Amino acid sequence: MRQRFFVFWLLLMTCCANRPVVSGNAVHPEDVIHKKFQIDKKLEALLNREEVTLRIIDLQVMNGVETSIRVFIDMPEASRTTPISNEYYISSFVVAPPHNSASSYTVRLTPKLNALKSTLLKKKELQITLVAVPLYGDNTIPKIRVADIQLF
Amino acid sequence: MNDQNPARRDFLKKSLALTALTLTPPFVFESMSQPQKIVVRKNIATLSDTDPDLVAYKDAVTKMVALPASDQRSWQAQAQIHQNNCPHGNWFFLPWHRAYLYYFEAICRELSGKKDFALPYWNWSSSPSIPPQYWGATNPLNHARRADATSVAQSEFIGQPVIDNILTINDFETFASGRATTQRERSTYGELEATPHNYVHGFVGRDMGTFMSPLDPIFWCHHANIDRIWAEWNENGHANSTENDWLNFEFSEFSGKPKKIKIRKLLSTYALGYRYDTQQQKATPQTINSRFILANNNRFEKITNKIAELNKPLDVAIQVSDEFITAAKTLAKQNQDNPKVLKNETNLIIDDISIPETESVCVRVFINCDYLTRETPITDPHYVGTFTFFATDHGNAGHGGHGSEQNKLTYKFRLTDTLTNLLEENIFPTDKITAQLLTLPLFGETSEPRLLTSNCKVELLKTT
Repeated sequence: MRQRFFVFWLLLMTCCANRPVVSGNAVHPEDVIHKKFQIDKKLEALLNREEVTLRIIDLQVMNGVETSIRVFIDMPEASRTTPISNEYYISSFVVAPPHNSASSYTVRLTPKLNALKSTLLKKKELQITLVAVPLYGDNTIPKIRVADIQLF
Repeated sequence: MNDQNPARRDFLKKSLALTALTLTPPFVFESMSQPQKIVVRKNIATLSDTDPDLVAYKDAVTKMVALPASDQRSWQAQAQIHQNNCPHGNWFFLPWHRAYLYYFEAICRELSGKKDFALPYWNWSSSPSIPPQYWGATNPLNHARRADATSVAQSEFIGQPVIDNILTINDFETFASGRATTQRERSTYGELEATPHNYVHGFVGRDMGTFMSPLDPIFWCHHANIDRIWAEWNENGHANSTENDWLNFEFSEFSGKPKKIKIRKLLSTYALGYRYDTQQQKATPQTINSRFILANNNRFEKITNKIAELNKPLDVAIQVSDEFITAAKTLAKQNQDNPKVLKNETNLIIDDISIPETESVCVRVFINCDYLTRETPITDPHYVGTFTFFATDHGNAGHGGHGSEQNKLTYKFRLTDTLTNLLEENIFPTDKITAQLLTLPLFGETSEPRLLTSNCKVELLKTT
C-alpha cells in the first residue's frame, strides 16, 4: 500500500514538473503558470510593434494569500527562487485585494523584448511564465488561476 | 532632477512648439480657504517637526478626528467617501484620487487655518521605511500598522528603477489602468496602480490594506506620491487619454464646491493650484492629440500691434455665421444633456501670441463678458481657461512657435463647456464671439505692470 502511494506521489510530481500551458481557459491553481505563443508571422509583426504589452486576464489567488506576480519571458524554469536580476525577468505586480476575486493586469514587455528580440525570434515559441510569490513575510505558497494571458 | 536631462529639455521645448494647449480652469471652493498662489507639496521625509505644513497637517488631522462622523469633513466621513466610491483597476483611478486629495487638502487648510497648506507626499522610493514623521505615541499621524519603523519596503515594487521604468510607458492605459464605463468597474490594472500603489497599501497594512485606508494618515501622503508620479509622467511628454468618455466623466461625491468635477478639469496640478517640489516651477503644457479640422464657416479677425496690458482685458471680436451659431448651440445642448455622446467640439484658437518679457504672468481667457475685470472669478460662466508661459526662452528661436514665425505661441481651448454655461444662463452668443485675454501677475508678483505684446489672430473652430 505504502509502495503504491509512493508511485502515485512520484507520478504526481512528474506531472507538476511539466505544468500545463494556459490555453485560454482557467487552469487548476498553481504557483507557476506558463503560456506559450507560437512564433509565426502574425506574432512576429506584433513583436515588432513600438509597444508590446501582456494582458493577464482574470487572475485570482485561490488561497487568499497576499501575492505578487513575477513575470518572466522565455524562462520556463522560473520559480520563486529565481532572482529578479535574471535576464528574463520582466517586472512584478501585486494582486489587488480581495485576493479571491478576479482582476486583470497589463504589463509592458517592450524594453525587455527589445533586448531579447533577436534571440527570441529564432525560436519557435515564446513563453511567458508567471510566478506567484507570497508577500509581507508570509511563507504560504500562493495558488493562482488565470483565465488567459494575451499579447497586445 | 529631469531638468538636467538635455534630451528631455529638448523634447519639452519641441512639445511646446508643436502642441496646442487645453488648459482647464481651476475650480475653487467658495466656502473654503483657497491659496492665492501655486502651493508646493513637499517630501515629508525632508520636513522638520516644526515645518509649518507638517504642523498644519497634524493639527488638521486632530480636528478632523474630533469632528462628528455626520460632518462631511470628519476623518470618518472622508474615509467613507473612499470606501463607497473609490475607483480601482480602471482609468478613473488617478483623476479620482487627485480630486479626493484636492478636496482633502482644502479641508486641511480650512481647519488648520494655514491658507497655503500643501499636503506632503511620502516618496517610498527614497524612503522605503515609513518615515519618523508618522510615528510617536502622541503623534496624530501615528496609526496601527503592520509595518513598523524598521520595516523596509521591497525595491522590487517601489525602487527608483521600477518607477523610472513606469515613467517611460507611453500608453496611458498601461500606465494608468484600463478603460471602463462605470466608476467602480474593475477593468485592467496598469503598472503604476498594480505595482507600487498596491504594494505600499499592503506593506503598511491594517487599515491601509482595506478600502477604509484613508483612516491611516499615511494614505494621503502615499496617494500624493502616486499623484506626483502621474504629474511627472505628463511632464515627461506623455499624453493622457483624449477620449471624451474619460475627459467628460464626472465625479460628484466630494464635499465642497463645485459638487461635480469633470476629469478634464483635473489634468493640471498647476490649474488646481499646486505642484510638487519635483515639478517645474511653472506649468508644462499638456500635449493633446490634435484631431481638429477647420469648419467651413471659420472666421477670424487679425489684430496687429495690440498691447495686452496687465490686468486689462484685450478683446478680439470674431464675427460668426448663423450656421456656426446654430451648430455650436446644438453641440452645447448635447453637452448639457449627455456629454458622453459628444462627437464634436467647439474650440477657440489663439494664435500668434508673442512671448512676454516675463514668464510670471498668466492669461485668463473669457468670451463675451461685458463686465470683465481682474476681479471676475474663474467660476464666471464666460470663463474659458488660463494659459501660462514656460521655458519659452524669450528671444531664443524655435521655442513655442506654432507655425512659421518664431517666438510665437498658439493656444487652443475647448469652448464647448463655456458655451454650454452660456446656454444655461440664456446668454448664448448671437452673431459674435469676443475672445478676451486678461493678463494677470503670477506667483504673488506685485511689481509694475509688465506688458504682453499680443499680435493675435483668433479662430473659432468646430470639429467635423
